[in-house]
Amino acid sequence: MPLTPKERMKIQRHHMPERDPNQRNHDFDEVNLGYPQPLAAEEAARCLHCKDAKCRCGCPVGIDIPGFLGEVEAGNLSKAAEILLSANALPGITGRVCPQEEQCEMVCVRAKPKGKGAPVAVGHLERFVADWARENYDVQTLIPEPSGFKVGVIGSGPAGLTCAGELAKKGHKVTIFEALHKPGGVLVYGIPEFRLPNKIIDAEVDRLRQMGVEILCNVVIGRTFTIPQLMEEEGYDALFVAIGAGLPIFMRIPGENLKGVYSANEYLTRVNLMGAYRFPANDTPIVHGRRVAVIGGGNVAMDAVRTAKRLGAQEAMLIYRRSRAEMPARDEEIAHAEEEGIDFRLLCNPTRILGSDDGWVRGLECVRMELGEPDDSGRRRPVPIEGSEFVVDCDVVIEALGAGANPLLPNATPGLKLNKWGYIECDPDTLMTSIPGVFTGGDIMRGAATVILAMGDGKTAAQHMHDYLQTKVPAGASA
Amino acid sequence: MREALFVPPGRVRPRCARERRAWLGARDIPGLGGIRLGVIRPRSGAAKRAGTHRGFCVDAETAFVFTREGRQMYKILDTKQLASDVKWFRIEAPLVAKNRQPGQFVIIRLCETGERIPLTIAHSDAKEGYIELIVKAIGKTTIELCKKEKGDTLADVMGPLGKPTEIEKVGHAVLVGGGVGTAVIYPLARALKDAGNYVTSITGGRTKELVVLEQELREVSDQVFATTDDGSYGFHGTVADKLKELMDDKERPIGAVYCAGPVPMMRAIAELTRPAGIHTIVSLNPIMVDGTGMCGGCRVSVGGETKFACVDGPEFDGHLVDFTELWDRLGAYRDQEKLALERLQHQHECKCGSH
Repeated sequence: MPLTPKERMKIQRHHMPERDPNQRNHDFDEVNLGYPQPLAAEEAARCLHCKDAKCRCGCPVGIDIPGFLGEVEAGNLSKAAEILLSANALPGITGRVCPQEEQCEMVCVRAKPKGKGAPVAVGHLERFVADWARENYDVQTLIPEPSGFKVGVIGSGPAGLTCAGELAKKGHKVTIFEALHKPGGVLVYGIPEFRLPNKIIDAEVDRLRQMGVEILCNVVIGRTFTIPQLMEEEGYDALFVAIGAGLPIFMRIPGENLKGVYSANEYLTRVNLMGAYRFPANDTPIVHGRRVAVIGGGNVAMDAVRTAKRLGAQEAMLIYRRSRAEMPARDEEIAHAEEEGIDFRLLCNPTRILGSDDGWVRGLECVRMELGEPDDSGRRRPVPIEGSEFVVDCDVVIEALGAGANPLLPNATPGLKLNKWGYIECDPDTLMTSIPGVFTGGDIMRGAATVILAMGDGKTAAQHMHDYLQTKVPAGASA
Repeated sequence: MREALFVPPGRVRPRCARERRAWLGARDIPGLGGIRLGVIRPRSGAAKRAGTHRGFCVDAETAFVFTREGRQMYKILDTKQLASDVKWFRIEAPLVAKNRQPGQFVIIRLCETGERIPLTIAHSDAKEGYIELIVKAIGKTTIELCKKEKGDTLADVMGPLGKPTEIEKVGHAVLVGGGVGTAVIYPLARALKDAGNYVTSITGGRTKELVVLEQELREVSDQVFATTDDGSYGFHGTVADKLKELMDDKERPIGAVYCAGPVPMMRAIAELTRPAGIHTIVSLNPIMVDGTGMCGGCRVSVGGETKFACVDGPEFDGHLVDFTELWDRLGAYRDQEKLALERLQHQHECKCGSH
């Protein structure tokens, strides 16, 4: 017998089982353990199945959330997986890294009244279904009739993988070009293992390969091939450019070129992609600081500081110029970092990196800040307090200030229009760039954002690329 | 065995007992025309986690190597020992060869647990689809690379990377290569010669043994000078001493100097040409990770500005480069490099899949 809404309302939100903070901050195994099935079913039962389900509109890829929650509640997991996978090609990834508290879970009626209610744990349940599906659900990879079109996807991050999957489903011959040696983009080099294990990405990539998608690694578009070469010489009918925001931003303060100063990109790439935490079993080294200072307050800063802790830092500090309330990182990440013993130094702004005689970092000079009037972003602007300079002793400094547009591909592509920040301009509806047949999406179009928004772009672009191709004759056919 | 669907070319021989067993125990794969597949399972936990087990596809004539993910590996077509610790490689990499221009480099990785290191492309042939590298065995990765022979493979070859050299008509172009830096100036000599310049090449080393590529340079230069610090061969002195001699020759004024080698040598050359105002281009070799401008690890100060050598370089105006900082940053991992080398020397046991 189905539960009444009143009974549903009585069930409290289930906390995600996590590993002990003092155990997990020494290794790179995943922090969240995932719901066991009974807990998942009970959590799913909290959904009131609103007629006008706000959560669906809160989701950038439009998952039928009440639909799959109902199936989880009923224990019908293969049906739940089918609903989930029909809208979201990478649920194992988004279930882990999506900011649900700003999307589906924010608009959930169970979240009301604000501050008192607790939304249905959609993200945790998405992860539960995805993990179950990976082990038990055989995706019906229908190989459709080949369309004869050849499509290239540049970049194998979340936008590229999603777009490739959607295009392959429509029968196009898809090739993904990846610059690094391993597909996955930021999912592999950026997001650490303890948040998103690589085996989940490998599984998604394997699934794409089964669908006939070809993945060429070590191919840098702009160098190995240029976009005109791909279109004219290699016979691609359409391209999707999803190269991400791969340009580290530095603070431009004195001392940034000392040894022991990293961009978060370099630090995380060394650890996540190259496995520097296994040195010397892996060949890539990394500087193990005893006192590590990470500058920034976003998700990447949290990843970097938690990584530093796991690499054995006695003190892993986070230096942020505003207060905790203004941090752009997800609440879950901030809470995890606090539990793991990360030292938050808020309202501090670095002014100078101090070096020793032999060129190593020995400290970070900061100035204290106070919050003034709100600025353009709506957050209160931090203002330095004069004469409040002090020095934080540290031997490694990691700058996690966000990422800009990497100019490598745009510079090698004549006729590609960019905006004033160097991101690629496109038609907001079709995502087509100034070059006909070349589409874009993800961070290189919108600036550094989230995995799910990139995936949303991949999906939208795939639809419009398909529409665009319908007006064309395959390039290979005329040859 | 899904891997069998991604069979790239590349011929290998079994190199140890475990590989030979896998070779012999290979089984037929239906539908692949008699190609057989054998898989070597990793022995250690670390190798398992890193996914370093390799597979073989074998038929009577040819054998193929591929990684666990079924990616193509890059085959070594030929090798030649140039000096006791300097080796020349010809590697199959058609996509890299296609667009490559002088001055560009590749990033290679030997195996699944390997590091990414940049190496200058000494020569390439787009039609034949190969590139040539010259490697000096200094660190763990380069020592392991120099043990490789014809028929072996590399896990990754990515490129071509970096800005190509601006090849201009400068009149008299002098190229200065120190040690294995000669591999960097060799392709430039060829390109500058083709552009109609009078090309003088200077290649130097501490002793005779360390002077490399002299013969090859002769084919693409108008004149070549070999120098040794100890006088055991050619000109007795450093490359800077020889360059000074050329600068004093008023009959053939120097249009530009192109220089590659150890940092102290490049600094000496830049200091030498600075008073004379001779345009000096140096090719830098900082520590790199990705090679696409994504990590910023290779940053160098040029004229007070921070540049990324992988995308803004690797060539810069030698009079503007902060060599002290470059030299210092190159030593960031000295302790780890020493440890890796020591471990390599103590490793006698074969660990399958990672050589």
